[in-house]
Amino acid sequence: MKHPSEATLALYAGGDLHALGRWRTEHHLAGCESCRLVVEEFGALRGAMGELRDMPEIAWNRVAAEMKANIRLGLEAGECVRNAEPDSVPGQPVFPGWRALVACVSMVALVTAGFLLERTTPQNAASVEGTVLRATANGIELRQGEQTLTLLHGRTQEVLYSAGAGGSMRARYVDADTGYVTINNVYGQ
Amino acid sequence: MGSKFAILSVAGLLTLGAQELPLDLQNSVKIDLPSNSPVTLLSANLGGSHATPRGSAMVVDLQQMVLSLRNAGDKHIRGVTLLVTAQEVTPGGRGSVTLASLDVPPGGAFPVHIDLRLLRPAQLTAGPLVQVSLDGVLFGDLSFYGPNRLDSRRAMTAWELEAQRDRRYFKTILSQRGPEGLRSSALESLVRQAERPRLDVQVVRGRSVSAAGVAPEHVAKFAFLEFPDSPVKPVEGWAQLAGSEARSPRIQVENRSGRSVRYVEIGWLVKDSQGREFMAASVPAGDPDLYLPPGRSGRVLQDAALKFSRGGQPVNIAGMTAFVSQVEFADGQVWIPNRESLAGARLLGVLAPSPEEQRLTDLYRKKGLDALIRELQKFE
Repeated sequence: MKHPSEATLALYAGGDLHALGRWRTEHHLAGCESCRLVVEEFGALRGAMGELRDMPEIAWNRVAAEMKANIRLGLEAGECVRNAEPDSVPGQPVFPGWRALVACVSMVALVTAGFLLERTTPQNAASVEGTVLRATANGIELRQGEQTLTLLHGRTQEVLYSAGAGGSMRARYVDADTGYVTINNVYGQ
Repeated sequence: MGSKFAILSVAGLLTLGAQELPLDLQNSVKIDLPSNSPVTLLSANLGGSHATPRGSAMVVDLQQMVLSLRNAGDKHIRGVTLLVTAQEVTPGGRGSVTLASLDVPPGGAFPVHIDLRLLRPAQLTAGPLVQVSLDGVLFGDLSFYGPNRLDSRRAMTAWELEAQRDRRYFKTILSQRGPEGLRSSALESLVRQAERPRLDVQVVRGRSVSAAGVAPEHVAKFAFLEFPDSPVKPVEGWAQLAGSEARSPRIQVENRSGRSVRYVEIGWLVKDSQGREFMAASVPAGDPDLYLPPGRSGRVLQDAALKFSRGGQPVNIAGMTAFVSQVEFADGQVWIPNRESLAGARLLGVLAPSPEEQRLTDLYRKKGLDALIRELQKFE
């Protein structure tokens, strides 16, 4: 059996694969436990990386404001020096010197960088809030924000899932080792 | 931007180079059984459990955790439910692991497998990651022990009644049509299980699925299947539908029996645009104070939203059907539909088999007809 590449599985886990690729990958995943596990891993990794968006330790606003203030100070100091010189005469260039040009370019770069750094990362349009319960390839997952609890069903292949409209989900299988009917239930409250 | 990129790169490298950290039982799991519990803990093993750092998060895998329990009472045990909580990770969320269709004699031991994965912040705090406690034990005479926080008494009683019903069915086949008749019935059941149309359902609580591009919402009425011997009759019901999403089912029911009822559960079927019918969900009575004296009406309602898909594609809902799937009377006795009613309503092909039918047919598949006959003969 030819397995899809990791890049394909990663795109599939993120919902970014084109329709044909998604169909082919789903077809493969239906019969390939190892690839399903890889997709699960990518899904979990995406969840973990999502937290990096909110790194609170770096105050980008404060850094940008300090840099802006320093540049403004430099410009004002330059202005003081320039005022002491005789007024410009017709025929001289609009920008009195290369320093002012550099300062303007720096200002534009700073504003652009600030905009890019402070821009809120857009949320996926299909994202959900509150508590979400769903069946995954390995078990039933309860997700609250970026944290999850998953009851797994091990190596068992034949699993019956059922949902409760009260906010619960159930996976039922015959344990391969003990022969007991095991019913995992996850409740979101 | 460069700094942020550097931080992301470092986090990525940390993720790639993540090391698995083994977990120990004492610091990771708290197992709490009451002192007078009819099941006692013989041993606990964490198997290959470990924690793996992933960026700023930690993945905790409690894999192949095995609790060995012993029946310390004087009755046969038919079911056990353990409550599993990870309060720090999912406040308010919890799980349970139930062993149903058991037959553990007094003094007998049995293992319970619990496999759990947590994704949580990396900062570790004091206290166990997971707590496991007893929610209930069901005995052969349908008596019960336990705090019953999850209403496991009713659930396990219903499963035990289904087990008795389905063993009776297979034993009748065996006595009337012989071993070959039993083989044929077991095969029919396996085929039905394999061909049963399945739907992926996502349950959302707290807020419906957001989103751009969701179809306009409308109110849709339920059609009903009625069983002649059902103590409760569905009268009318609605749910909000929007494309592949449904929420807030509300079903009016009437107690037509001579006994007071304290719980009703509704089975919810949905039909797609091609007319295929799927089991969508069960709708338990949400009101813990529900009480229906004979002849009185009440309402079964829930607020969760359900999103349906199949093979990764949304399934638009074209129709809904409901039926009464479980009733608990005020004295604790439970009613479930009989096999004739399920077959008559053509529900056997849509509903999942009972846990006991699942176990018996799995036994037949793995160990053959003789093992199935021996297993049926164990029960009176």
